[in-house]
Amino acid sequence: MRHFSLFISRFLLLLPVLFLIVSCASTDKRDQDAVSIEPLSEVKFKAWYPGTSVEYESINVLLKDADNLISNNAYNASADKLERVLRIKPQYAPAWSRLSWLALQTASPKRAVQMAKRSNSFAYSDVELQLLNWSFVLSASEALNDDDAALHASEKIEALKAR
Amino acid sequence: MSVKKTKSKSKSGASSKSKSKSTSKKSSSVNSKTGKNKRTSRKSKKHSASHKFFSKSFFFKWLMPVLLLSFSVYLYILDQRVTERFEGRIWQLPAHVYSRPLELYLGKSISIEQLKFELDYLNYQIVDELPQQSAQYRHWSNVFEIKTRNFIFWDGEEPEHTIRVAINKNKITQLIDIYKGESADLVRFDAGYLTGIFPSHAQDRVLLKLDDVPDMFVKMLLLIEDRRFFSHWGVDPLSIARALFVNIVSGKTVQGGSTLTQQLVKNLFLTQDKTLTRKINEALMSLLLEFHYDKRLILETYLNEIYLGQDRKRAIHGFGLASEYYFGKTLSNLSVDEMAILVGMIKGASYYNPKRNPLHASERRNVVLNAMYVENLLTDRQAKKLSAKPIVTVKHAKSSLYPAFIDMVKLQLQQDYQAEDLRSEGLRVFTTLDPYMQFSAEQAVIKTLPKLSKSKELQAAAVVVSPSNGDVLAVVGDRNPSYKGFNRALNAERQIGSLIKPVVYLTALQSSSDYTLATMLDDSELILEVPNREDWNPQNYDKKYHGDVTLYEALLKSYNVPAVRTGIDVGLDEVIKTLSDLGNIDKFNAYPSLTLGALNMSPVDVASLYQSFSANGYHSPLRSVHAVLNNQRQPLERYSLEIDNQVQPEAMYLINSALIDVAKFGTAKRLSQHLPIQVAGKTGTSDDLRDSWFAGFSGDVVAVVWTGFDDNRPTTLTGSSGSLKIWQNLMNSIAYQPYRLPDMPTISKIWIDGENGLLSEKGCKNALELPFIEGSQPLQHSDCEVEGGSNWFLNLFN
Repeated sequence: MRHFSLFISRFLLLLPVLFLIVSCASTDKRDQDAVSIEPLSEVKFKAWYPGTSVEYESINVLLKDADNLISNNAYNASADKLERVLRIKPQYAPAWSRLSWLALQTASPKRAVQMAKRSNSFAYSDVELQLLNWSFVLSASEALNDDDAALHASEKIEALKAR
Repeated sequence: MSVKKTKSKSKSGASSKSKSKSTSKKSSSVNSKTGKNKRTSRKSKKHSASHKFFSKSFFFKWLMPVLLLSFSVYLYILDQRVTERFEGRIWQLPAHVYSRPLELYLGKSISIEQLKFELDYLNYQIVDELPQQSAQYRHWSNVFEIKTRNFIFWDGEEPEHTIRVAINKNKITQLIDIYKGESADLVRFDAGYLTGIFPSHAQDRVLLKLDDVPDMFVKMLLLIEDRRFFSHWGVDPLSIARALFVNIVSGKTVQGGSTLTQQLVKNLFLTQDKTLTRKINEALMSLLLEFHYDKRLILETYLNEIYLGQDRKRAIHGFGLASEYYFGKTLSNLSVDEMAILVGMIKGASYYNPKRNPLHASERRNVVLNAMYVENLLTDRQAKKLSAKPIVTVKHAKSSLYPAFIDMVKLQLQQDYQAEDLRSEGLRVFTTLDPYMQFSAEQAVIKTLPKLSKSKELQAAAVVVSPSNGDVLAVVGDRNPSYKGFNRALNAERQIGSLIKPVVYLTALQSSSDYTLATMLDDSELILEVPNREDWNPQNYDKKYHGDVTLYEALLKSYNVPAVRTGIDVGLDEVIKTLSDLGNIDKFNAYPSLTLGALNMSPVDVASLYQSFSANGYHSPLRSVHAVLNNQRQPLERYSLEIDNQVQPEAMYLINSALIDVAKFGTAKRLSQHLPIQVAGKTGTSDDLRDSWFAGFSGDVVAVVWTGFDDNRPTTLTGSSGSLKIWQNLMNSIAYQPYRLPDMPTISKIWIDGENGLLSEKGCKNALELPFIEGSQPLQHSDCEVEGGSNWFLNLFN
C-alpha cells in the first residue's frame, strides 16, 4: 500500500509536466486573413434634391447620405440609401439617375442603361436630368460596343440640347 | 537521490519475490492432503501474486511508465477535443431571418391599425406614460409615442428614437423627435425576427461578447454559480468540499460543487450522465480548458452555451437569445430583476421558466436578489422593490409562421449558400416580408375561402409584391397559412386562363401599327386544324359570338375568340417572346391554345409577370432577401435592385389603361364598387372552372390570388366569383395608393366610336375616349349621332 501511495504521489507530481507537454502539442489553428481594398477614384456627382417641402425631408436625408457615401467611394452603401429613397418614392427620377451613375462606376453598363431609361420614364419635364441620363446611356453603350444604341443616345442628346 | 532510493526498493522487492517462491513450494506439498490446506495454498498464491504486483521493480520499471504513457495519451486525446472545439467553430449557429424594417416619414401611408399591429409584432410594450425604455409605446386616439430599439442593419446601426406620430386619414401627418423637439425626417424600426434556419439539433443562440454584458449581470452570475471563478484552476476543491458537507448534512443533493468551467465542459463535450468516469473527464477537461484559455473567453463561452429553455423544437441557448426570447430586449437593456430571472434559470431551465412557471421563476429570482442584497450589491429597499415586481415576459410565437415565404427565402439563398452554411454559420438574413401585408393576405384567404365553397379541400394561394422593385411582401401557400407542406404559391403550376390575354394584346400593340385599342377584331366562329389532333373550336365563356369588337372591348370582356385570332396573327412565337421579355424565362410550346392561357404557371410566376405590367414594362426579378450579414454582423451579400425593360412602354401604357377599365367596367367591375382607389387587373379562369385567378395592382402593391383543387377537379368558381373576392378583401387592407398611368408625351387620348373604331367626338353616340400612341390613331371619322352617346358605353358593360 505504501508503494501504491508513493506511486500516486509521484504521478501527481508529474501531472503538471504532462499537462504542459500535452497542451503544447496542440497548435494554434487560428489565422487571420488581411483583406485590402484599393481605393476607388474620387467621384463627383451633380445632386438633384427635391426641394424643401416637408414631404420630401426623408428623401433629402437619404440623398445626402447617398451622396456623402459616393464621395467616400462607398458605392454599395450609397446604392442602399438610394433604394430606400425608391421604396419611399418609386417615381423619384434623380434617385434612378444616381443608380445609373453608380452602375457605370461599378462597371455594370447594362444596368446603367436600364436605370437611366427608368429615370427618364419619370422625368419627361426635366430636360437637364434627361440629358444627364442620355449621357449615361451613351457612355454605357460605348462600353458595351453597341454602336446603334450609342448613336441613338447621341441623337437624343442633340435633340434635347436643341430644345 | 530518488533514483538511489528506487534502486534499493527494487532490491528488496526481488528478495521478497524469491521468498514467496519457496513458501509456495512448501504449500503445494501440504495441499495434496486436505482441502483446508488447498484454500491456504490458494490464499498464499494470491498473496504471492499481489505481492508480485505491488513489488517496487514492477511498479517503477513497468507499470508506472505504462500508466503514465496511457494517461498521457488519454490526456492528449482530451486536450485535442478541447482545443479543436475551442479554436474552431464552437457552435453551429442557425441563420436568423428578419422581416423588412418599418420606416416612418411624413406623408407615409399607414393606418392606425397597421402601426399598432407592427408595434405588437415587434413585441413593443404598451405603457401609460411617455416611454422611458426602448421598445415601449403609448397610444391614444390617432397619436403614438414610441421609443424604438437600436438595431444593426446591413447598412449600419440605427440608433433608438423617441418619437411622436400622428396619423390622419391613413397618412402620417406629424412625426416629431420628442427630446429634440423638432420633426424627425425618417425613422427606421428594428427588423422583426421571423424564424431561424436551424441545424439538426435545433439549438439557437445569439452570440454575446463579454464586453457587451453588463457588469451587474456578471457579478450576479458569479455570485450565484461560481464565486471563486477568477481564482480557481477550473476545479474548485473548496466548493466541492462545501457542497459535500451541505449534501451530507441535508441527506440529499442540494448543492453542486461544479465550477462554471466544469458546467461548460459538461455542456460542450460530455453527457449529462452522473458517473464517476464522466466526473473525472469533466475535471481533467476543465483543467485543460483553463490551462489553454483566458478566463474571460471561458466566461463568454459559458454565457453563450448555457441552456435556458425550449421554444417548441428550438432550444434556447445563451443569455443573448434568452433575453430576447423572454423579454424582447438585449441583455444590456434588461432590468436587474429580469437579469435575476435569467440567472435563476440556470438551476432548472424548465422549472424556473418565467413563461411557463412564473411563480417558480419569481421565487427563484427573489433568492438571487436576496443573495445580491447579502453581498451588498443591492440595498434592502432595492431588493424588496425588485422582489415585489410581477414577472412580465413577451409573447413570442412567430418561429413557425410564414412557411411559404421562408421557402422563397431559402430558394433565393440557395443560389449563393450551401444548405449547411445556412444552418451553421449564424447568418442574419434580412428579407422583404411585410408583416402586416402577410397578416392581411392570410386573413383574406382564411376569411374569404369558406364563403366561396363549403369544401375544405378548396385551396388558395396568394402572393403580394412591390411594383417598383419586385420585393416579395407576402406569400400564402395554403388555406391554412402556417401549414408547412406543399407550397402552392411557389410550386402549384396551373393553367392561367385569361391572365395571358394582356400579353397577347401587348404583343400585337407593339408589333405593328395596325393594332391599337380601337382595332376591330373578329369575334365569329373559328375552327383551327391542329396537326395530329382534333380540330380546335375555341368558344367564348358565354358561348356566343359578338361580331366585330374593338381590341379594348375584347380585353375588357375577356372574349376568347378574338384573343386566339390576334395571337395567331402576330405569331405565337412572338407571344412567347413577349412573355420572356416580361421576365418569364420558362419555355412554352407554341400551341394556339397558348393564347387562352393553356400554359402552366405558379402564383409566384404570375406575380412576376404582372409586376412588369404594374411597372409599365420595367421588370424587376422577384427578390425575397435584401441582404445577408455574417455572425459578426458584417455585410456578406447584398441583393441589389435590378430592372430590365424589353417591351415598349407606350404599348404597355395602352394595355394598363384597358386593365384599369377591366376593374371599372369589365370582368372585375365589382372592384370599382368595393375598393376606394383605382386599380388595374385581369381575371383568369381555366377550362371547366378548374382554376380561378385574379392578378392586379394598385399604385403600391401587385397581388395575385389563385383558388382551385389540388387534384385539378372543377370548382364552381370563375376568376370573378372566386379569387377576385379574396383579392378585393386583401387590397382593402393593404392598398393605399391608386394606380395611375405614367405621364407619357407620346400618348394622346382620342374619342372614337366604340362600334367601329373610327374617330368620334365627346357626346357622340358610342363615343369612347381611348389612349393612342402618337400617329396611330384612326384617320377616318364615324358619323356622330349625339343622342344616347353615353348610354351605349354603360350598356356595353352592364
